[in-house]
Amino acid sequence: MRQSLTGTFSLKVSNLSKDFGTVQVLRDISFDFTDDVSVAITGPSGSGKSTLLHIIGTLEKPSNGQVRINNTDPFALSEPELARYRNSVIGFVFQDHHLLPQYSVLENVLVPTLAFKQEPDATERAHELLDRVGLTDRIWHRPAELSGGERQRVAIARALINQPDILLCDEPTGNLDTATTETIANLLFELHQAEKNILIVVTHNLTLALRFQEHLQLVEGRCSIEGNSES
Amino acid sequence: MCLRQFKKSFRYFWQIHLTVALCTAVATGVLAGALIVGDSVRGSLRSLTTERLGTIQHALLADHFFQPNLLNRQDKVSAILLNGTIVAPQKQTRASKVNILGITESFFTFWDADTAPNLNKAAGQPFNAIVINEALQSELNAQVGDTLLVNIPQVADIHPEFILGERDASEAIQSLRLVIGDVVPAENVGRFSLRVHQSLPLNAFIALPVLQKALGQENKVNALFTKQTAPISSDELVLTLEALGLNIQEHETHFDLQSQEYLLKPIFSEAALTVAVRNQIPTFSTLTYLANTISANGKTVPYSTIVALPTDQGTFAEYLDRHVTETDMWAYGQAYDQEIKRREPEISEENKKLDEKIDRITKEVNTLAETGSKLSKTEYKQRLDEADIASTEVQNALKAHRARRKPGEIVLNTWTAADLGVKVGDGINITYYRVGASEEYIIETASFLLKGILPIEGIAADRGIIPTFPGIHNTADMSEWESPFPIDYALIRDKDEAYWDEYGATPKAFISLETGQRLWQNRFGTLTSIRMTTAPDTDIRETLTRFETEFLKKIQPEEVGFQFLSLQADGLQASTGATDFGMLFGSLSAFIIIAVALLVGMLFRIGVEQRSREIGILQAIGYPLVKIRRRFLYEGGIIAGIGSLIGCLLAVGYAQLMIFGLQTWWLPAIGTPFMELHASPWSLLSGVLISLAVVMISIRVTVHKLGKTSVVSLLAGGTDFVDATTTSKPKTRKAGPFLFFVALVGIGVGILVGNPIVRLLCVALTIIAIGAEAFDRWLKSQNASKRLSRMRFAVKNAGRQPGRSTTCVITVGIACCIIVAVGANRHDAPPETEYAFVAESSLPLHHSLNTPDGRFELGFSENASELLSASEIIPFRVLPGEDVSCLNLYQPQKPQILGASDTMLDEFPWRKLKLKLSEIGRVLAIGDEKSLRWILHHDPKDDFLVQDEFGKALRLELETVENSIFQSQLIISESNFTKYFPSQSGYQFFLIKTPPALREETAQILEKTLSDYGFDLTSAAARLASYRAVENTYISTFQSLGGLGVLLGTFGLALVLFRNIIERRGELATLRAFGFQRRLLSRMLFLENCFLLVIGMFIGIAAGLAAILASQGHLPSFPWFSLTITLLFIFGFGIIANAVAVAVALRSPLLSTLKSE
Repeated sequence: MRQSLTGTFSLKVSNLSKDFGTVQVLRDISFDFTDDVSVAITGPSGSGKSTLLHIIGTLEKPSNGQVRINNTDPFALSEPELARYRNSVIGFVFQDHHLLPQYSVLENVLVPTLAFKQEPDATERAHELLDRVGLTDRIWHRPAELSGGERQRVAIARALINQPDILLCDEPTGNLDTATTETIANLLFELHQAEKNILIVVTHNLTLALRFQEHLQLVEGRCSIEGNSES
Repeated sequence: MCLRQFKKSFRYFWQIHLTVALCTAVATGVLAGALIVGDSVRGSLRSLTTERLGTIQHALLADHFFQPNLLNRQDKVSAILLNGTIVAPQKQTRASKVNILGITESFFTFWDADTAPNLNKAAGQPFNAIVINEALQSELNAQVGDTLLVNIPQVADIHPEFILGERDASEAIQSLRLVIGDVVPAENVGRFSLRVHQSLPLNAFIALPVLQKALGQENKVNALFTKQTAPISSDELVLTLEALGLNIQEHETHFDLQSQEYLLKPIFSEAALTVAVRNQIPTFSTLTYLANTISANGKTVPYSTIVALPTDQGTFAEYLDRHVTETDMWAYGQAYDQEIKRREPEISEENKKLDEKIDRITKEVNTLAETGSKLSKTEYKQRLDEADIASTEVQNALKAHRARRKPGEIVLNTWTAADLGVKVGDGINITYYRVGASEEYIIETASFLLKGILPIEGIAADRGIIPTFPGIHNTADMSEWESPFPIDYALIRDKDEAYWDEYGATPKAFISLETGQRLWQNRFGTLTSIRMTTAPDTDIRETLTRFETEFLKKIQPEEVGFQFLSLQADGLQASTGATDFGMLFGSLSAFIIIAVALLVGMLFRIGVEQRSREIGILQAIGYPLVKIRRRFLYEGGIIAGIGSLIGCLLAVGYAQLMIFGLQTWWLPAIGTPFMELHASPWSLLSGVLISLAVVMISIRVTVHKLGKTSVVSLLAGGTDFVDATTTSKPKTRKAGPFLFFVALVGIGVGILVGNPIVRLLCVALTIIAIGAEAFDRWLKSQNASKRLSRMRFAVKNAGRQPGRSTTCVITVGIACCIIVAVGANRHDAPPETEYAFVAESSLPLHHSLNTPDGRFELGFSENASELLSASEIIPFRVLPGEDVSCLNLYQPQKPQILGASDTMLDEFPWRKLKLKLSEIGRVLAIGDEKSLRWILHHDPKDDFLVQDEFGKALRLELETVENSIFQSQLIISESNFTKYFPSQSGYQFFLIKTPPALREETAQILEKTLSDYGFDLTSAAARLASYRAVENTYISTFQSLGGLGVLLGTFGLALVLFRNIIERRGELATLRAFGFQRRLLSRMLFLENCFLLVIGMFIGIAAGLAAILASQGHLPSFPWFSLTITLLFIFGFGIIANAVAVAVALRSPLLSTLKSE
């Protein structure tokens, strides 16, 4: 099993709250995940799912409470340190894939490696990831030439290029049909198994949520965690 | 579209609309502003003309003095116009090229002045008054009450360059001592000048009678002015023989027509002989000359009058027949045969030499024809010219040779024959003076055979055919002669004095008219007297009256030195300007307008892209595409219209700024700060219409692309009408031949077009278009499998919106192209010339500065003369005219013409001026290429037409030189000059070669000694620099347009950057999410725009260089330093603007964009 710098992967959220002005989005959220757990976050629209994901992904700061990833408080880091931390520890997959239209599939996958000094084997790994997501024959195509499912597969490969400890997916199948949703979900689980990282997925799809080891439900900013016996 | 909708649209999308309107305003402002600058130059020149001439409409000028009543007009105002120098002895100052005006108070009525300055002598003043203008006052640093010495040319009947003309420096100039009575401002009458130039004239006004008296020309003037609008016609002139300088000596049986100028001008003699033939009046023409000696048998008779007359028929032939015996005739025949025999070997030797020369020339021409193609164009031309010149020289030699074959015949009177002890058939030599090329006296010898000896009676004693020799005729003794030429009084014997006492100027010898005219040929005339006797069936009185009437009718005033000038109309015509500033600024504004059109297109497209959902919805609910397009077009039209109106205000401001610039920073371009704003509504309207049309075409093209995006894509917020990212196949291979074809056509058209500006524009725009298209295609093709790096990352980002990136590249390219194309002509290095000085004198010099004798005559001391011997001074004759260089803003109509002396004609291309063209009235001339093309607006390939002194057309076949010191004149050979402008005398323009160490001293000596002539020296390098300063100033003004292009280009870059960041917020946020630091993102965006800046600059520089090459045929000596600095400045400015734009655009948080909720 792949290990973090501290030995194992851990994500600990304690008493986390987030408000935007007078609107309180998250209230007193706490949980603790370790090792290669997969977590689904569900909840109605406006319940704070994406906000929670962004705070875990260090894109937003919590109003109160603490987030510790591998026993490190990322928000205590300086801006450059946080950027490097995010680049190496966290991977993102967005609902709107956010692929860069001017780049080819391979280049999109390689984009995160450009943030800092590129590893010599980055391109090799990108090819390997694209092979694993089934896009070997499309590496020089541009996003506009791909289907929605293919685009999302590219986004997944891009998220994994730096071998992150935590993979965060914000409704990755939100814009996809049922069959494609199934394919993408299978791919995510498959890669999760292979990469052995913490996988956190925000989804409205309850059937999909049941396939995760942990199920975190958010209602009006508060959360409850259930373990999924099926997974 | 209703106004309400537009208002709402404008309010909601006000930022983008405002930017479009401002860009249109800039386009209108630049174009209309350029046209207004042109209006202002023309308007200001027109105002100057009106101020310079007041209400004077027409003028009658003459190269001689005449009675004012010659012109039959009531309102005429008489004046004497002279050129002179003025010295202020108290202040030790001097002013040259001063307009000396002899006027009456009525002259001031041409201007609306309340009070006319007083020209009369003030009470108690010993000297007469002079009124000067402020410009002259400033030059002399003189005050009212100061005494001035006014040097003016002395008036003489006989031309100073004729043997009998007065050339002595002390006689040629006279000085008047006058007191400054008043100073007039340098406006109105103070600005009066016949010279069409924007610079302030130096004017001095003297009471007409005072000047007339000083010149010895009482009641005579040389100029008449009128305020009547009807032109003065030659019919209004009542010509008299006196006005023409002619006189008739009436006798019982005949009358003699003679001239006060000694020689009858060819035009007079030809007219007189024609009238005589027509009226059957018998004529007898003579040419009288003064021989220095008549010698034979070792004996000499000094200073004798010789008359050349018809010896074969007529009065003299009959008289000779009566006095020559058969023995004499036999003796003469024997002597003639012997002489022919004696000359034979010499003649045949000369024949041989000439034949050899002709062969050599023929061979050279044949060789040239065969091998010419191997020579360079210049070398071929040079050798062809050399052959032509050699051929002309041989022709002249042949002519002279033919004349020498036969011995000349001479007839002596008995007194002379007895004194020499000669008989018929003896050889007689005569010596006489001839005026050389440098106006020196040359003693020539001619040999004759004595044909007869005549008693001093009848025609041989007739003094009536001898015109008056000035300084000689009325003296009691020969020793009292005061001739202009040197006389050796030691040669005069008692018997000579006795002859003088008894017979006066009675001729001692007679030769044939043909021989006389060949020996004493000069440009002023071939006859001194025409004797006419009674016509059949009339008496002498009636014959004379008939002759005089018909003769005066035959003479056209224009042929005898009268000029009829429409001063006001010509001045206003000239004020259209030599340089069309409007056109020049407008041409270069074309670049800016294209840049603006591209920017507007891009902006409008961004505006439309912002509203893609709106367009999608309208299409979804059934709006026809045509209607939607029309709606955007109307919207664009209204915005552009508003922009154009704002542009009108900008135009006036821009023109005002340019005028301010021309009055201050760029003053060398116009010389004098005389400009004021003149805005024509037509210029504004043209600016508005052209810029509006260009902008509307750009908007129309953008709107047309609306239909190319699917409705679904539009509804989804798709912004790319032509999504460059949808294809990954490179197009460059297919584009190659097409681009090559377009380039070939564009550059071909550019090169074929004659006008260099059009050629420059054509080639520059083609190269920019080709460069931009290639760049665009390259951007779109950037999908090859290359290793991704940050640099490539930036390059690919630029390819995200290839249209926008290309627009920025074009805009920057255009700016750089202007700066390079215009800046390449800037002359940074100081001009180099082999000449140390250029000198001009107000009054002509008649003696050579290159010979000790000439310098002595001009008053140089021995030391000064020795100093000057180290210099070479090349003199030029000057026909007064207008400055045709870029220093004159008016459109010159009558260029100043120089006559280049032989010294100048020894080198290529000057040698060509020696060529004599077979066509009469056509001569070779040299002019500066730039002056001809840009100031005279004349294609050097065509002949340039001027008028000779006799009012006839003279065609100048032009040869051009570049960047020469002769940018203000056209140059012909001296021999042609004296042929077509014979009455112009002396030299007034000089080129001086002096060793560097002696320059200062030489200049001082020349200016000091020749101060009475108004001899002014200017450093030749400084003169060249003044021309260059004008060019450089033009270049600076045009580069300011390039600066505006840089501003627009940078603005475009910043705009693209902003827009891209707004559109790519999601992408950028994603990159942030993947650990890209803000600094790294900034650096990448900065790099992306710098890449566009560099590409734009590269294309622009390449286009600029190609355009220069196409328009000039070669790259000028490049001002690398200034151009590099300018380009670095542009690069720096672009970089700073980019950095600021990136910093501002990335200030707002990006990561919030990623929230999907």
